[in-house]
This record gives sequence, C-alpha cells and structure tokens, in this order.
Amino acid sequence: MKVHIVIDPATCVGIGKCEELAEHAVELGDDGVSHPTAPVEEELARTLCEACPTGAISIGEPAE
Amino acid sequence: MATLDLSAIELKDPDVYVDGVPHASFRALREHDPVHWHPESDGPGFWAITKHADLVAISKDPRRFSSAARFIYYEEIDEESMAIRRSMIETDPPEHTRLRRIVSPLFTPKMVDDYRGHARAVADRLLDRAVERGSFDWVRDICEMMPIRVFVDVFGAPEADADYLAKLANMLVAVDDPDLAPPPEMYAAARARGFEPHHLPFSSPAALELFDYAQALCDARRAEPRDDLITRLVQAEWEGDRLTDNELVNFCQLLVFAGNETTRNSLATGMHRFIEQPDQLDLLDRDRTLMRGAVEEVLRWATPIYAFRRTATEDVELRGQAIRAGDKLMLYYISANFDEEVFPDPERFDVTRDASQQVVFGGGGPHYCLGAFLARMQVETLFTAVLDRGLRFAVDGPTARLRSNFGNGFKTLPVRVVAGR
Repeated sequence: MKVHIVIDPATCVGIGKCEELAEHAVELGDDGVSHPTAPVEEELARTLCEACPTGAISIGEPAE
Repeated sequence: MATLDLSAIELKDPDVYVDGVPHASFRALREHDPVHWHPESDGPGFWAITKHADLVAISKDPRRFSSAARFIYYEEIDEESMAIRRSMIETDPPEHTRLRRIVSPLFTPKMVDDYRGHARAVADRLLDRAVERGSFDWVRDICEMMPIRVFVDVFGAPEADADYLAKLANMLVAVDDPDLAPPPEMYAAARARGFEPHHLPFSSPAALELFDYAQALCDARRAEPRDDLITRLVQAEWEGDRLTDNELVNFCQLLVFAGNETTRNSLATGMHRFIEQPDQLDLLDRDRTLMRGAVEEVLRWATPIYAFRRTATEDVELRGQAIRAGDKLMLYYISANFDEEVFPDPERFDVTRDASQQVVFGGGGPHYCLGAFLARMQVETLFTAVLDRGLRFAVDGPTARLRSNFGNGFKTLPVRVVAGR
C-alpha cells in the first residue's frame, strides 16, 4: 500500500538522506527543505522515517 | 585480573592520543561507567558519554542538550568570545535551521555526484605525481591536497589558494601540537589587533587570517556574484535580513575547517589501516560492490573528530546519573564507533561488516554533518583510484600522529609504492 509522507518544515534542515533513498518521491528544494513529490510504499515510508537524522519525516494519509 | 581504575582515566590531555586511540579507557567506561564524571584540572569537569545509544539520544535532543549555550569544545568560553566566534555549529534551532538551510542545497547527494568527476581528476593528478617518486608522504602529498581542492571548487575560492587554506585549516586544529601550531608571530599579530587566542575559533590566531581571507572573498562576491557557495552566503536572506559580516566570516571559517581537516584525516587513517591489513584492500579489489560498505567502515575506524560537547539546559537523569542544568557533556564519537553493542568485535577492521550505524557525522539531529555525502564520495573516489591503478603501499619510515584531544589523524605517513607503479 502506498502512503503519503509528511516532512515537518520546521524540523527539516535539508540533509538530503531522504532524497538519496527515494529520489522519485522526495526533492530537496533550493529553500534547503525536503519536499515529498509522490506517495511511497509503506515500507519505504518507514525506512525514511527511521533514516531521517532530524526525525522530520512521518507517515501521513494512505494514498488512493 | 587487574581492572582499570576508572577515576584515573584521562580523556582530555592531548598526550593521551599521541600513541593511538585510548581504546582500553573507552572500553572500560562503556562497560562500567558509560555516563562518567570526568574531573578537569582547568575546568568544572564534564560527563563523558561513551555509549552509542546515549550519544545518539543526546544528539537528537538539541532542546535539552545545547550547542549554543557554551559551544562545543572542552574549553570554557566567555560571552565576549562567543559573540566574536559563533558559527552555525554553535547554534541551536531555530537559529541553526535558518543558517543550515542556506548551505544545505549545495551538499545533497545529487549535488555531490556532480563534484565526483572533479574529485577523481584531483585524485588522479595527485597519485600520478606522488607515485612517480616511488616513496612519498601520504599525508602531505595526498591527504592535505585532495579535500581542500574539492572544497575550494564548491566554495568558490581560487584553486591557487588551496594550499594556503589547507595550511590555515591545519593551524586551526593543531594548536596543541608543537610541530603544526601557528607561529608566535601569528599570535602577536592577533594580539596587536586586540584578539586574545580565546576570542578566536579553536583558540587559534590562524582563524583571524581566515576571517580576513573570507571577508575579502565575500566583498568580491557581493560586487560580482558567481555560482558558488560564497555568493549563496552573501545573498542569503531571512525575513529581509542578511548575514552580518561577523556571521559570514565565521561561516566561512567553519566550512574551511570542516571541509578539509576531517576528510584529510579519514583518508590518512584509512590508508594506514589498508597498509596494516592489505587483505582488506585485496578483498575490495576483488569485489568492488563492497566499496560502499567499506567507506562506512573506513570512516568508523577513522573517526576524525574524537568528541564534541553539549551543555544540559535542564536537569536530566541518564543511566542513573543526575546531570544538572549547565553541566558539560562530552560526546565521544570515537567510543560510540567502537561500542560492542552496535559493532561486534569493534577493534577488528572489516570492510564486509555493516558499519552504517557509525556516528562519524554525528549521532543525528540537526547538526548532522553538512559534508557527509561529500566526505563519503572522496573516500570512495580516492580508494577507487588506488585500486584502479593496482597500487599497494608499505610504510616507509616513522609515522606520527597528531597531538590533539579533538582531531584524530596522522601528521605524517611515509609510504613506498610496492605494486602498481
């Protein structure tokens, strides 16, 4: 099942770990903050949550 | 069996690190007193944090464990000095967040991929020149030259200034090493301008030269912007505010230090380890898919920064110890990276192990190393270049380690080419 990931813009400092792990679903903008661009498989979402050094990523709504 | 007297363990004296990492002390602390009160002859004392899990938890909790309050080194710092020498690494969120986002977009994995070709060209050029001579100093001829050249390209400083900047960066962290410390005239010049050593980053007068250099470069980019990191810094805006000159030069100082010393020391320790254990390099050569993991293991083994400090902002209990607001905590990355709970048989160097939990880039949290991907790329690039040439080396004379309680590295590593000339 695919889910939306949520990146807290107040916590993210733009390290880019998420973009490395899921280039198709996250983009680090020129504002220095990562932005989700597509839903991801739930397992990948969990990996992203764990991998984020600042703990800025959480799992949001399921994607239709 | 005699046990180590824990109260006698010394971790701050730079002499303790000259002959090697004091693994026995850290091992004893991890086992018997992982949150250890370490007295200081010239300070209030500190908590030595030696377990991986504790270091990670503290790193991820900047609200209770501040980098801004009293900075990030052993030394006690006064308000005046903090005002002069604060850089991003000595801030907490949300101030840190604002500064970090200015520079983050230039250091993402995607961006770092773009720098890879340049790094390989630098590595090839340096190896060509050194290997031709048959024997050379791996530290001086390779490690001191490579990261600074990769960095100036991103930073936007002229390549011709690379060696000058590397020399200044060396003098920043080597204040405790008589062989590398800044010359007396540099101290005198700083004093003549009203700066005591403690006013300056790393208590080193080399920082003042670096400030001057950075100021000139920032002025030049303000007049004539380019596509580089310095231009980004001078143009950065936050709710209508720009960075002050003082913030700018400290930012540059931090980047020059961090973009040079740590990678340089990792490349040196990595090569030393591969010379000591040539089977590990052979293993990598036979199976290049091991390279990514090997980079993590080299970094774990190298741990180029022994420790950073945090200051507790409130009373906290940790493993039964009562830490009080205002207490100093030293986070020993060098111990966490050899924590047997995370890395079985930690004093074995093994490129096939899973070293991905290493804390070379910090234990997580907002201060996670800006240059992490850049550093990994350079380690991978240099050792790939070595393997591509079939190069093997032997130690060719006395090696010497840096006298420092902060930077873990070699001053000299004389090598002789034994294969691949």
